[in-house]
Amino acid sequence: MSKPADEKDLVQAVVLADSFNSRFAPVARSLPRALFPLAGVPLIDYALNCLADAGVHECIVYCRSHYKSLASHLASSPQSKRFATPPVVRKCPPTVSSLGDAMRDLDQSRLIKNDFILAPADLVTNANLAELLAEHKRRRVKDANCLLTLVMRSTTGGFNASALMQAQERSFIAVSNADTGCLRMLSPAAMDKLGRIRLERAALLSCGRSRLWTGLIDLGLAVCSVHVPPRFTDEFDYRSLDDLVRGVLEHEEILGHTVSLHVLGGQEYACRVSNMNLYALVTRHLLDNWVYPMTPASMSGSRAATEHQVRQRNVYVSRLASVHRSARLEKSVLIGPGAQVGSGCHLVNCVIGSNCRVGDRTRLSDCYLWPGAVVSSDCNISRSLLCHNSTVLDDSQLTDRCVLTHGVRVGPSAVLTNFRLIVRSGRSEDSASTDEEVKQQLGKDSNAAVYKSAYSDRRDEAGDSDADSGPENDEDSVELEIWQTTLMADNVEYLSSESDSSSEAGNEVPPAEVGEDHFKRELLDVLQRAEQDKHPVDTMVVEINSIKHAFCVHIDRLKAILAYTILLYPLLKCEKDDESEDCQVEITPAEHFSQVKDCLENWKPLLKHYFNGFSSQDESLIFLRSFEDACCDRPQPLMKCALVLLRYFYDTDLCEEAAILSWNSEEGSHPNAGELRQCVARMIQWLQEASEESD
Amino acid sequence: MQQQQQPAAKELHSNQLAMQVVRRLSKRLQKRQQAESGATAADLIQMVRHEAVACAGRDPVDAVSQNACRRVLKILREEAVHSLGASAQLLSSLQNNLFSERPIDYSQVKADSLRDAVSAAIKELSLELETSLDDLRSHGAAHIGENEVVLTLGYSHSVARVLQTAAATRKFQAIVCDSGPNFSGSRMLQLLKTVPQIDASLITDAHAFAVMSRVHRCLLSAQTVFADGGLRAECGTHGLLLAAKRHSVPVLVCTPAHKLAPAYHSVERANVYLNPACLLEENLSFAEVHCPKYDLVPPGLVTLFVTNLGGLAPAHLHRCLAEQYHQDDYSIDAGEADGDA
Repeated sequence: MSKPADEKDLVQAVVLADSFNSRFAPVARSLPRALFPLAGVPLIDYALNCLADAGVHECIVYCRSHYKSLASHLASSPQSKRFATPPVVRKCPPTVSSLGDAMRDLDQSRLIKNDFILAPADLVTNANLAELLAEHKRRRVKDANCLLTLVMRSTTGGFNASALMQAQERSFIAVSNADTGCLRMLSPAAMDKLGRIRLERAALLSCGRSRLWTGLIDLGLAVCSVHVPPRFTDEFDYRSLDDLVRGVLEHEEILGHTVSLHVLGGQEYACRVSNMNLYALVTRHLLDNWVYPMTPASMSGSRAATEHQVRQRNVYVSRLASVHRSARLEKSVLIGPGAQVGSGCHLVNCVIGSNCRVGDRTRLSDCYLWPGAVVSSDCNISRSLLCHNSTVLDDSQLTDRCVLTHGVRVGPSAVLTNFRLIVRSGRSEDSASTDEEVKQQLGKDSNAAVYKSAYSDRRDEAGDSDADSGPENDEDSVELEIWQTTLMADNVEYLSSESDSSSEAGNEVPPAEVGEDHFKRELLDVLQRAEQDKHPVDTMVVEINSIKHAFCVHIDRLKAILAYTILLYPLLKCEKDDESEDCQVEITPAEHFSQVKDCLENWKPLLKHYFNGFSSQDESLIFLRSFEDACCDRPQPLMKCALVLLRYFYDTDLCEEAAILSWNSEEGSHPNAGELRQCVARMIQWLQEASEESD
Repeated sequence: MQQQQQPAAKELHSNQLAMQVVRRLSKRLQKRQQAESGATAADLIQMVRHEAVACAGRDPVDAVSQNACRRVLKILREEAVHSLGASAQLLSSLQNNLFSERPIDYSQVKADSLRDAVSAAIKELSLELETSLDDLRSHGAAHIGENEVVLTLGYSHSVARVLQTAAATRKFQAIVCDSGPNFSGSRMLQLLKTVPQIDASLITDAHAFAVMSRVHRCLLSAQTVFADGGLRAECGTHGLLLAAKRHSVPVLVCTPAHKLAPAYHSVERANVYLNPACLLEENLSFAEVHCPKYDLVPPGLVTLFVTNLGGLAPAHLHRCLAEQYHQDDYSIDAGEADGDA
């Protein structure tokens, strides 16, 4: 693919080849995660393949460690030839310790000229990114403030999603606008003891038709506008994409930026290989064709199709491999070039890397042998990973998630089970254990020791007593386990059954937030002070904005509360003053109306500022709804003067005729709403007649 | 570009694909003949064989491109033998014999001397490919009688053309199986509905057996026809053919001659496996789901192959093969690429 002449059409991608955590620590010490062989192909090639499919011209790969091995891989990878310019590997300085730092570095480098795709190197997806990019561009034309399109995978419906879901560290719930896809809320799905999820009221109220997504998987994939790296520079404490999204959602009305959400579903496979369980799962899915059109055959380079012989039940055997005729390859097996499989073997769900040797009568199930691994005769291995050049000698039993790192030798007659991470002994930093019993388990010719990470040490010390306050709380310092053993909560079922429920704004109102009450009180103070000291409107705007941020009130809520407070201002003021005296405030409707009229006249610029000059019907509707709230909450003075007030709104252009009519046709949520409708019926009738006449 | 390219490539009909390959080869041959004065016929043959291997590598399911290469190879070999004179011609006819010892030495023939003859023969071949569909449909239409019930499966360009041609002179009923999971049958139905003479209806694949007793003829197409009469055809064909056999319904397979491959049927033949997600929307992690695109139909289920050369009984396929391809080019393997006879 050649580069476009116009720089505007240039499509760029940024691939993060560093996870900035040390989950795969002992394995990733000699090989970066991006180069882990997944079904015989380095992991990063899957991401590059997908980007090349999307028509990306330029690709920037970020890494912190293993720069050389990445660069040399990219120089030779068949995937990198598909870009207009070969992918550039950028080595970050060691100070870079998060995605945020990488983005700040990117901003300084001025490499980004256009909207770009941000993808992690460990992403495996067959989604059509070209379509996503086009959609993002269309959205940017409509709404220039759209900062990024976040891409997530739904785990409800479609393929083996629930299995994928269970292997994730966390899933998300999100609320987005059903029409525009604009994201309103995103949070990790956390349920309280009753199995309830907490939603932010503001998120539900602010957008018209909202859609609730549950069970979303984070992919680290986003289509970013060119303004994303500068944003990270501005906000120097943002570390991840999550921080950015949260920041944008919280401060939306300051900068006006928005985030869109795109959810992949159906046949679009997408998953990050972020722990060993996912590594195993994605390999399975890849062999079983769920990532079609990416298959082991299509991924293995230019001579793809002739490289492997595809047999039934997803068995791929390289033409250069020698498999004994009595070996039984049951299903989902990949055998790489130069591999040897001895007689009487039984293989299920296995990947045998290039130049591996599997001895006679060995049974392997759910095993991943990286190039050069050797398994001798009569072994029985299940659910394990054998890294480069590791050796399992005769008659060994490895069951349930054992990992043998590079060059490790165990056996003969080794018996290892359950989450064992075996490293070569003699490395002081691994704090290897030298237990006699363990030595016996490893076998007498072994050069290995059991790895003890800082994490497991800490867990041992802490004991089971405070399991709740485990290291999960402290995300930065957490030493994550290679197999994500703390699986998702048992509530997965619940989550997936609650899928896709569209919720109309305001239908299920979560418990009112405390912050809003405080905010109301503060707002009243501001108004009172302004009245006494005759503040100009500008000062009031600054004050209101500051308390708004102090209490994290959404702009639409702010509008509603402001209108509500102003309409009830005389009443609230009296109440506040007389709070201590505990007497009943009595204001006649006429008095109330005249006072509200004064207030509205004084603060009309203020209202206009927040309601964008009442230019659109939506703004007027918000105002009228809070008018309704006010009337229904305090029917005593207000209901009587509702008609005059409405007339006043109409005369002073606070509300358009159309807005009033559409408000009237809405069904109010208050019990008194009907009464209010009756009070203003004369006005409505008059408006309807007027509009008919003008027609 | 896999996702985007694959459907685009499928839009090509098989004869267009074959013509594309022939055009490409003839250009390369001309270039070679002009550029290298020392080139011999053996060099040209090797070049075309390499191209055939490359085709097989790109898409192992695509037999049409390989067959087009074989046709060009046959032309080269024939013309070379022709220019070698009478003794070689005798040898070449004897070569089909088991006992021939001395192979023909193609390197004695200068490539330059073949130029005119080869380009004329290739032009003839292109013309044959171009008109193959028209020939096919006139042959095919003759097999459909008045008021017959014809069963077909999925969308096929050649079957649609045959039915349309037949409908010009008679009325008949067509039943289309929808051919899951891509349901191309509905596309076929839409096409047939535009022809007033055809009373077309759509059924699911599962109903094929039930309606088979009322059917007079099955008219199908294939992706590849193997030398022994086996097929690589759209998924669902095998079941349909078994149903037809049970009810003794004659099965006609419309196939242009360039789909006829010299290989034999085997379940290990190349196939395309699609994303299982298009079959199964449920979350069944324990289930093993396979979604093959083609059925590999064993020989013995087809009554007649309707080709552009006329009707061919399965037993006569080998004659057509021998006519079209040279014996030496039957097997084109990756390993054989460098050593040519």
